[in-house]
Amino acid sequence: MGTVIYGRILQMKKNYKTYLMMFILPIIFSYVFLYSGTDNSKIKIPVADQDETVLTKQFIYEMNQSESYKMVIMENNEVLRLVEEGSVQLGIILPKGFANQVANGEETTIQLVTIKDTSDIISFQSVLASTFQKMIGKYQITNTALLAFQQIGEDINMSSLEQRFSQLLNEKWEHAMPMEVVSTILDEKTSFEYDPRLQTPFGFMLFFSMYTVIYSIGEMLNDRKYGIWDRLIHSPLSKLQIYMGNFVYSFMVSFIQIALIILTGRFLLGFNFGDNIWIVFSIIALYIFAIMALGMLLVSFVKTTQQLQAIVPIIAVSNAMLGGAYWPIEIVTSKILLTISKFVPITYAMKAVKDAVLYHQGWDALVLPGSTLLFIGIILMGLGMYWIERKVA
Amino acid sequence: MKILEAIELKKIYKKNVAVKGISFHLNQGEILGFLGPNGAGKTTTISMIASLIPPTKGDILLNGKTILTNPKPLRKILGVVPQEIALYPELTALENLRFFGKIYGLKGNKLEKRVEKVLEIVGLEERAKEKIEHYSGGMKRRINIGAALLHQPEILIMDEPTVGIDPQSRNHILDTVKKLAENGMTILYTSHYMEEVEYLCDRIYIMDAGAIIAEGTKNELKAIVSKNDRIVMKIDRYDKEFDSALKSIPEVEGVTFNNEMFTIIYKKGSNLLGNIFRLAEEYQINILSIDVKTPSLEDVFLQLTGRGLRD
Repeated sequence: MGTVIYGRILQMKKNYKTYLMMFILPIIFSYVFLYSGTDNSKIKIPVADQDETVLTKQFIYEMNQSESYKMVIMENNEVLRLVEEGSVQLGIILPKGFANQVANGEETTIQLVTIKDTSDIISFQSVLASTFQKMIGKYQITNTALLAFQQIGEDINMSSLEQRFSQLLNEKWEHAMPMEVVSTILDEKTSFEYDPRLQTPFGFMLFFSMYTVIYSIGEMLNDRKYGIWDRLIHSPLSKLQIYMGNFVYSFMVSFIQIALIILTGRFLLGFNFGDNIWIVFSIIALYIFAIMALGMLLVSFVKTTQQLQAIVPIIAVSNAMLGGAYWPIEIVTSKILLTISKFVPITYAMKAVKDAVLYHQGWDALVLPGSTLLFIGIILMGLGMYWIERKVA
Repeated sequence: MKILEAIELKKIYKKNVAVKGISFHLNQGEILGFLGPNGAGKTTTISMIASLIPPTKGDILLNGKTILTNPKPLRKILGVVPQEIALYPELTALENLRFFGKIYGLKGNKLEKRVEKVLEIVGLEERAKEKIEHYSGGMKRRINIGAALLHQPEILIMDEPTVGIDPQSRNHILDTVKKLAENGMTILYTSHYMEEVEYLCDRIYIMDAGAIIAEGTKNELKAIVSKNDRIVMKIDRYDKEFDSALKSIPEVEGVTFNNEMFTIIYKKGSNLLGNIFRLAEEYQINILSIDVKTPSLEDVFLQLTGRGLRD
């Protein structure tokens, strides 16, 4: 077994540039997709701030705290142009005198620029109204407190008090709320937690590693092509040793690739994949085994590495789509797709990772998905080896 | 003494019978030749002996014991030189030899010494650090042989080891095979080159269409055609009717046409030349050269099958 691994490592040394790319590119892409994905997940809203006061800036800041919208400040004409062009659905204009109106308790106007009403606009209006209410609430509390200090004649610096008061209010607002309204959807199955900082790197990591696992297993096809497989067979090495050598090599390369993605995220980019890193690595190990088995099955069907290279992208992309690597599987509603996803290893790996990291389930997260991955692996490996041996005989 | 014996070996792929129940044996220290055209079943036979593929029927005995249930004792003493270049092209000759040495359990100083020795045998010591992909065809073939010699096998099977190489490399390989046999190695050599088998082998099996059609020493086989003579004739153009007319001469035993040359096997003592010149005139064929030769192994094959080895 060791000799087969030695041979593979010799080949790896000769093709070190390819392997370097194989290790580095998935790291880059996993996190590039994450950053681009996070940014794109917010709808951009152009804002023209004609008043340019502390209050309007505070309002824009509050709006940016929403999970769905990102305010982009620009000139009035630019806002109108973008809406007219249809580049954005809507824009907002904070008119001159906005802060004064608020200070005097007058009716305040925020102009909403849009071409047609859609459900998205109604939803935005709701966020806008609640943010405005929240901000006004804070503003009035601050002003009332300052007025109280003035009336009892306290000798303090009003400006710094206002600043500190406002700052504390921002920090403590959520905790100070006496009551919180929580919306609960009756059908719990449709409720799920989505964290793009977990979904993207893990999804892409599992997706990219499929290529590495299957191509490294596919090295056996090159051995057949060059007649090296026959040399190994009529040597004193047993078939089990030859297969195990290939499996261990494939496992090593794939595991290193995935570990590098996780460790880079954790130690260089500051991502927190949860405290249970060993659970994550165990899930990854079982996932690699299942994909290795899938690789063996594919190797048993094809004759050349070229044929394998033609099949693998189709398998990898469809697996990633079905198994929830590209997007959360919870948003998929088609019963057919959900049924097919049950036969895809990536589904179980993503589920186990989410359960472990997002829902903090500990080792329990590993039990069901892990045993399913093991089961899939054993079945596919058995079939793959059986067909390969049958083909040879 | 029989070291390896095949009994009624048969291999069937679906409906295709590749080897039709052949029996043969290999004596200790001899060079045994398997002569036959491409597709005769030589490689399939070798693959069964090397335990790469199981026979559909029959048995293979090593020193009287079957190796079908336990091929390990054979694998330890067997070296196989495959027909294709079974080497990692991106690795150097040295790295390839080290790798193949390791699969036979060689390591450390012993491995290095064997690699050095093998490089000396195949005459590539000075090019050992070059990648195989940069080697010429002949050099690749020599390292291909070297990889099978690392563990000093008692039996060496060589499957067409000189296909597609230059005459200089071929001569080097043939000399190497001779030297290996002189040092006590038992060799099974397959080829469709009659001259190689005739030069190297003590005993010869002639195979065609999955069956052994003749066996014996060179002289025993040539005796099959001892009552015949051979004419090799070069002509300016091929004419199918002329070919048929030659075959219809009663004294002619076989006719083949290859590389503008007719080879005609005929009964010794017949006055064939007169008939040939008459037919050439009749079919307006110009004879460029004509030569009467004593029979070779190729003629044996021609006599037995009616076809040439390279048809």
